[in-house]
Amino acid sequence: MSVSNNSHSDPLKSDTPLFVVENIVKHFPIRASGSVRGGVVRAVDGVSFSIQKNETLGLVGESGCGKSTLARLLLKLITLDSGTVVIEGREVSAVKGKELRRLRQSMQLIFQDSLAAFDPRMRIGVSLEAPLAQHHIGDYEERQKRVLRILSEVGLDGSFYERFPSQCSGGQLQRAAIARALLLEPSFLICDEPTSSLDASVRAQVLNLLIELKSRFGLTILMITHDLRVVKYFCDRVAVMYLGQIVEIADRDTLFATPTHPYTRALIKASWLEELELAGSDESLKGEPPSPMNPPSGCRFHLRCPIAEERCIREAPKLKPAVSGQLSRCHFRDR
Amino acid sequence: MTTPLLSVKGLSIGFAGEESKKQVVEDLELTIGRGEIVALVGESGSGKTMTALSLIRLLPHVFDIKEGSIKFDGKEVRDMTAPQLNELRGGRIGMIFQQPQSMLDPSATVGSQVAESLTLHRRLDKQATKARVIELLGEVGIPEPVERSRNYAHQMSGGMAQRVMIAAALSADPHLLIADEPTTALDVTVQTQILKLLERERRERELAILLITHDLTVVSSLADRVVVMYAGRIVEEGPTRNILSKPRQPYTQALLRCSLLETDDEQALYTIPSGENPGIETTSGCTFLPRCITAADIGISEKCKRQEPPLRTYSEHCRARCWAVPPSEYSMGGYDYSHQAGEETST
Repeated sequence: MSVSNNSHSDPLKSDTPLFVVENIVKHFPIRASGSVRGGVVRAVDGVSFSIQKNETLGLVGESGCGKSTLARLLLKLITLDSGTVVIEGREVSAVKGKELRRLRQSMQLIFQDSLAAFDPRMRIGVSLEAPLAQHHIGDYEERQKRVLRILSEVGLDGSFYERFPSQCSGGQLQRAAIARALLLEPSFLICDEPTSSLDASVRAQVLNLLIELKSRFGLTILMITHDLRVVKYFCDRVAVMYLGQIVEIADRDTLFATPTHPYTRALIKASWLEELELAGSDESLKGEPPSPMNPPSGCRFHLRCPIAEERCIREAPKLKPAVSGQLSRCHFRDR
Repeated sequence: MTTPLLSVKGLSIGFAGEESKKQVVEDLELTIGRGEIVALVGESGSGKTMTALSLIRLLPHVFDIKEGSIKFDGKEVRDMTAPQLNELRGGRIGMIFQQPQSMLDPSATVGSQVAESLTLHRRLDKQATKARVIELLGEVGIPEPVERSRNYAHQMSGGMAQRVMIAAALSADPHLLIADEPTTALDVTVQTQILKLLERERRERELAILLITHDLTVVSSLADRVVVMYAGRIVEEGPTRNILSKPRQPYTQALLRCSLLETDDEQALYTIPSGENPGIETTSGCTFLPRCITAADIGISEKCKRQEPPLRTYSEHCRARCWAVPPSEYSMGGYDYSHQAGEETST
C-alpha cells in the first residue's frame, strides 16, 4: 500500500476540492475580570486552503497556534467570524436544520485522548451505537450488527462490544474511537493528534489502520499533529500554522526537501531527535509562542526567528509562492 | 572501590500479600553512577514506572517489593525508617512526571511549591527561601522569575509548568532525578528545550538522571546508557550508541524501528507482531517469543519455548536476553560507571 503523492502547481488550490476555506477568522473575546486583562484571542486569523478529495492534509504547529479551533470551524461546531468554508460547492454557514445534520454525518472527528472520548460508564458497544441512533439509522438489531462489523474492521473482536473503556488499553480505545467515527460512513475525517498519547509500537499500528481505512472508505483526512515524522509518512500536503496563520503550505516532498520558512525548519529539526546535538551549537527555537491576544508587530515569528532583520519587525510578510513551489510567509523565502 | 550512586540487585515487585508467581518486575538489576544518565525504555505496562517508584518506596499499595536490594549511596532503601525516607524523597532523589500541569497544586502559587521542598529539606529562613526560589526559576529558564513565581499552574504553558517541576525537584540539590516521561506531553520544540535543560543540569550539578520513556529517539540525544524492559524484565542494556546503532535483542530492534517510523517492503509502517504488550505470564520459555520474528526466522523456537534466556553479555558493556545473541567472554566488570568500578555481574 502506498501513500499517494499529489503535486500541484499552486499549493493553495487543488484540482477537485472537497473543502475550500477562504480567509476564515475566529477571534475569542476575553472579558476583563480581576487580574485577567480583557482583549481578543486571535485563534484563527485569516486562513485559506483547500483539501482535495481523497487527499491527506497535515496541519502542524505548536499548542495554541489555532489548529484545533480551525478543525472545529471546519465542522461548524463553532461559528465563523468572517470568511467562507465551502464543502462540495455548498457554503457551510448557509446550511441549516436537516441538511446540517446530514452534513455532520459525513464529517467526523477523532481526538487525542481516547479515554476521555468515551463515557466511562457505558460499554463500548453502547457508545458506538449512539451516533447511529442519533441519526435514526436502522433498528436495534441492525445497529448492533453494524457496530460489530465496524469493530472487526478496526481489528477488535466482538468481546469489545461488552467491555467498558477502563478494560481497554490506549491503543484499543483509539481503534474503538476510529470505529465510532467511521460508523456513519463519513467522507471527511479530522484526526486531532490521534497518536500522540500512544506508545511507539501502537502508534505504528494505528497509523497503518488509518491508511488502510482511508483507501477502503475513500476518506479525505485532515491530520492535526505536532509530530512531523507522522506527517512525512502519512500526508500528501502539509500546512504549517503559527499564531493563527498559515506560514507555509506545500506538498510533502517539497516541504521536507526545501523548507522555506525558518519556523518549518525549526520544527523539522526538533522532530528528528536522534540527530540532535544537545550540547552542540544552539540553533533550536527558543522560548514559546507569544500570546495570540497580542501578536507581535510585523512578522509574527520575528521574536523567535534566527534570521529576523529590521524589516521583519515593521512589515508583515504575505503568504507568497517561493521558487521551490510552495507558499511561504517569510520575507526571505528564497534565500 | 567506591560504590555507585544507585545499585539495585535482584529486585522483584509483585501484588501485595499474594504468593503468586505473577510479578510486575522480576529480578531487575540496575546501576547508576554519579552524574550518569540512564534511560529505562519500554512500552506501557513493562514495569518501568513501578521500578522507579520502588526506588523511593512509593509503590501503590497493591504492589510490594518481594525480593532484592536497593542501595542508594551505599544505604539500603528497604531498611529505611520513615524520617529517613522523607529525607530521601525530594531531598536526595527528585522526581518529575509526564503531566506537569496536573502535578502542580492548582490552588497554590508555583513559587510556594518550589519553596516547599526548600523549607522541608534545607530549613532556610523566609527571605533566603524566597531568594533561592527566584534563583532556581531563573536557572531553569523561566523569564521574569519574580513575576512568574506568583503565578498559578493554570497560568502556565506545559513547557513552563515542566520547568517549574524541574526547579522544585532540584531545589533540595538531589543526587538523582527520576524523570518519568518528562517530555511526552510537550510540543517538539519545547521538548528539545527541556532535554537541553536536563543535560545542562547534569553537567553543572553532577546530577544523575533516571529517564523513563517509551520513545527510543528521546533517549538517543540524552542518555549515556539504555536499559530496555519488556514484561517486567530487562531484555537488553548497554551504552546508548551501541544499543541504538546495533540492537541485538529482537524486541529492542522492533521498538527502534517503530520509534523511527520505519516502513516494511509494502510501505506499511513497521509494527511489532500480534499487538500490545501481553503483560507477564508464567510460561517457561522466553516472554517475548509470541511476538518474536527472529525466533521464527532462524528456527530456534524450540529452545525459546522451553527455557527463558538469561541476560548474557554479548560485547563490551552490552547484555541481551536472547538465545539468538551469542554470548562473548567480555564481562560487565570493565564498565566504568562514571569513574566508579562496577562489580562482576556476568552470568
